[in-house]
Amino acid sequence: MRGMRPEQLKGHLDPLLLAVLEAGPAHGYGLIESLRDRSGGVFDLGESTVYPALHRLERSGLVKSESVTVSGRPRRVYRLTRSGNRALAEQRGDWRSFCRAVGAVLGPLAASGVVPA
Amino acid sequence: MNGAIERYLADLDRRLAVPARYRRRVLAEAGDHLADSAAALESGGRSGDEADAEAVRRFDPGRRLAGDINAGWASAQARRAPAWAFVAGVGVLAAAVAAIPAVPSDAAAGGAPVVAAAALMASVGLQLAVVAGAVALLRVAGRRSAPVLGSADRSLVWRAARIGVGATAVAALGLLGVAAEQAHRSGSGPGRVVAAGLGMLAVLAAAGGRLRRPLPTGDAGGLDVGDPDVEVGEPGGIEDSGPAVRLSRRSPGAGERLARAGESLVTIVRSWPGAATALVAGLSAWGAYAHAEASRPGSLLTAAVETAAVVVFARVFGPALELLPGAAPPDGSS
Repeated sequence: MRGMRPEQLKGHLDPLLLAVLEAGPAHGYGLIESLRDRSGGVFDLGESTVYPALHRLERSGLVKSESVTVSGRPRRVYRLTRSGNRALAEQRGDWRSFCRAVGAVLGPLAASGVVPA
Repeated sequence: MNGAIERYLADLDRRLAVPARYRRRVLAEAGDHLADSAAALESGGRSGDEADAEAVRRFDPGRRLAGDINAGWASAQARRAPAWAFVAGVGVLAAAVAAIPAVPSDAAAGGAPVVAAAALMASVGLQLAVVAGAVALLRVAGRRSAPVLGSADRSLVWRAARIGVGATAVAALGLLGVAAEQAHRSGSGPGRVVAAGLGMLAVLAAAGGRLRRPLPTGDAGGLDVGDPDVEVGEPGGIEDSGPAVRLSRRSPGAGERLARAGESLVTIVRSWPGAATALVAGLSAWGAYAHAEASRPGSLLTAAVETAAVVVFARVFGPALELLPGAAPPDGSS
């Protein structure tokens, strides 16, 4: 499957990062790997794009970072805060509403041939 | 690390326009990421040099990281600018309240011209400071849910905050003039006035220092979301593909909607600049006249000066604050 273009991810990276961090603290490289793996390779963007997003999320109080030792080296690791959990829940709701609306117009995935009936 | 990663990090260091501590953090995170990536590629069979070059290519293929970091930092700084202008205003007023009531209330009797002029300076300065501060605050509040403030918004917020602090400094001079004149008349000594002056100077220096930072130059990077009001599909939209739902932008709260309503009023003012200026000048003159007639002579002169001040400020600062049509002055950003 062709990876999604980086421009298509603009505006959607924040909730994706929050969702990955929901599983547990991670550093930037680990986040990129998780994003790629969980999306089946669809989200294959320039790896550095996570850092401005993570810093922005930290300024907003949605994530918090700290320096920890990973494999003998100091690394900056990010974790979700309570505010981040609430923001993620809200954005999940927005996304579900959006998907329902699009699905109502396009029709079910089986009928449209996206997945086998 | 070989040359490819070191060259990339040196280039990144050169292009970052952020404070030293944040710069060190960005470089450390980038370096760690590239080291992990290169190690993974090398364990997959690539040579050391190939792994490093490929790691850099995968990390920042468009060389946009520096611009994105700069834009994020500039946006965060711009969002704090109204707060510094507010601190300056509150600090100056607090110092003035501490100095002026120490003087007996009948010291202003007689309406000395110096006192009247100083009071007028303070009044006009404070009015301009409030207007400029409101412009900055409305713009920041109206973009609260946007991930990043666009460059045009940042420019306006910085200009408005600087104008606000400058006007507050003018008001401070006026207030100190009133306090000094009244202290002289009452014979209470200069102690409180000097202390108030030093306090005002400290607050204004702190706020001015924070707002003195030049706007960053260079492109805003690939993730600058530009004007958050531009929706997908509009001409000039910064996203011409992808779903219409912009999940990174949180739903606007009540405060943001209120700020946007305030900006809509500004749009009306811009449509009728002459009428808006005349209305504000008239209200200001009426207020000055009504206040002056109650306790001081020269009420007509005061009202005339207030009116002239409003008209001059509208012409000089109106375009810079985007309250009136016209070209904003260059602010050093590219």
